[in-house]
Amino acid sequence: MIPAFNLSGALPPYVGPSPVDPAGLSPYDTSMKELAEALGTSADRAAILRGFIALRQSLLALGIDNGYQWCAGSFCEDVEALEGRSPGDIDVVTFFVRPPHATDQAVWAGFVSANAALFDAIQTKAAFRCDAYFVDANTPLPSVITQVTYWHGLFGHRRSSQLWKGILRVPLISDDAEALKHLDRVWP
Amino acid sequence: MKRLELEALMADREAVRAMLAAVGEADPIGQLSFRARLSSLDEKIQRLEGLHEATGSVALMFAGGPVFGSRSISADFATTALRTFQDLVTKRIAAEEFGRLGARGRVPERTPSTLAIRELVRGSVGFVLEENSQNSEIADTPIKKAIDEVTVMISQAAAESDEAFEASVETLDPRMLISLRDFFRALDDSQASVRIVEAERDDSLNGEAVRRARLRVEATEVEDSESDSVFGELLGLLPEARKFEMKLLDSGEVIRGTVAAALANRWFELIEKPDEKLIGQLWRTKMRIREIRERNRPPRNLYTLLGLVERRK
Repeated sequence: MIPAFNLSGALPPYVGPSPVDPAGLSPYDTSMKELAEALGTSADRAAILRGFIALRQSLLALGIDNGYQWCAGSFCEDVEALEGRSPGDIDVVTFFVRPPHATDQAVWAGFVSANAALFDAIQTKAAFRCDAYFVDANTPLPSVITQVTYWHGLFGHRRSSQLWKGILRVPLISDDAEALKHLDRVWP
Repeated sequence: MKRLELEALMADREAVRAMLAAVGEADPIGQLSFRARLSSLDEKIQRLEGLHEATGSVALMFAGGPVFGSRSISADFATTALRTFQDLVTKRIAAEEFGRLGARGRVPERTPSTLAIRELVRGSVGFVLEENSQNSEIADTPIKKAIDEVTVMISQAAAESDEAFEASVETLDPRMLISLRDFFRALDDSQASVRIVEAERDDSLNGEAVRRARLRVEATEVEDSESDSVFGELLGLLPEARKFEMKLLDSGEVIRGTVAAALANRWFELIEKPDEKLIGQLWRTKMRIREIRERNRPPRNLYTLLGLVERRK
């Protein structure tokens, strides 16, 4: 479910009469096809989504398939109306469990090093139009909680006005092929 | 609003530095993520610090009586506070462009002075006001200069020392004093405090400072007059510092004050003339006299020497 932008041009922090009902709270669960249909509303946005799908495919190819991603930033706001420009990229935080073949610490360190191009936001921005950050669920719980708190604080609010805004959540395995078909049909 | 944006970025950067310190070697992907985030923040901060905002914007953030948690603000108070601040900016620009404003009547306007509400600030409740024009020039717009000067004026009115306000009153247009009074009255009546953030300044006025400013401004009256028949012996004139001293003919009182820019510039031509004796001479002068009346204090006059009309024997 992707709610419409509110008057502030952002996803609302909750839908319904109050933030008490967990079913109406951000992050909103959605799928790649729904994301493409709701927010792939221009050629620029379609290009970003194609990059996002390519990143996801690369992660799946490495065996990172257990987890989900938050989508946020100007891609998830009506930045065209607010600032008269297209979004430059999509902000993504991937929460994942390590692939079974890489749970050992030494193996994991080597795995990350060997695939740094997929895990370094500077490189993913250039290659996939994604400002991509990661939270490893295999690290100790206090560290996971601290990191989730930071990313939610960052992406759940607008910086200078402290406006509370919503985030989207997509599982690592979703209907990416359908999303690509939609994009190819609407923005060939 | 560059200053608020920078403030938020720097706070974020400190948080990320703390995260990096906490994320250990056992979390290499966490390290990569926060290092990239830190690099991104450093770049944004550097870019923003180098950016010169030539257009006017200001954040007014209120707390206290009219604010309900961080949820809402009294509509009546907000309307009055914003209107009186806009008045101050409008009158400052008009005074700059047209000189002394008339005692009453419409404030003349050449440069549009209207501010628009760009954003609401949560946390403490506030507004980011911005001028509507797009300025591609390097020079600051008149609105930006006016906002800066108005902010200084507000801070001086609320300053702990009397000297700061007294210095401000010496050059304040009388109609601006009225708007300043309205501004502080609105805040004080509602027991509000305010934080004003603009390009050059970040000033917070608590309830005590607001009350102090209100009492000062309400107790002050300013009246300007001009006369071209002030007779006296010119004792001295400093054209660079724009200061003069004169002994009045009728009372013998020695007055001192500022010299208008036009006369200061002309002075250099006058003193070049051979045999031209200016100091120690009796003159009929054109003078602006500002009478400042403050409660519980004797009135004081400020003088601005506008011209030397004719030498007298």
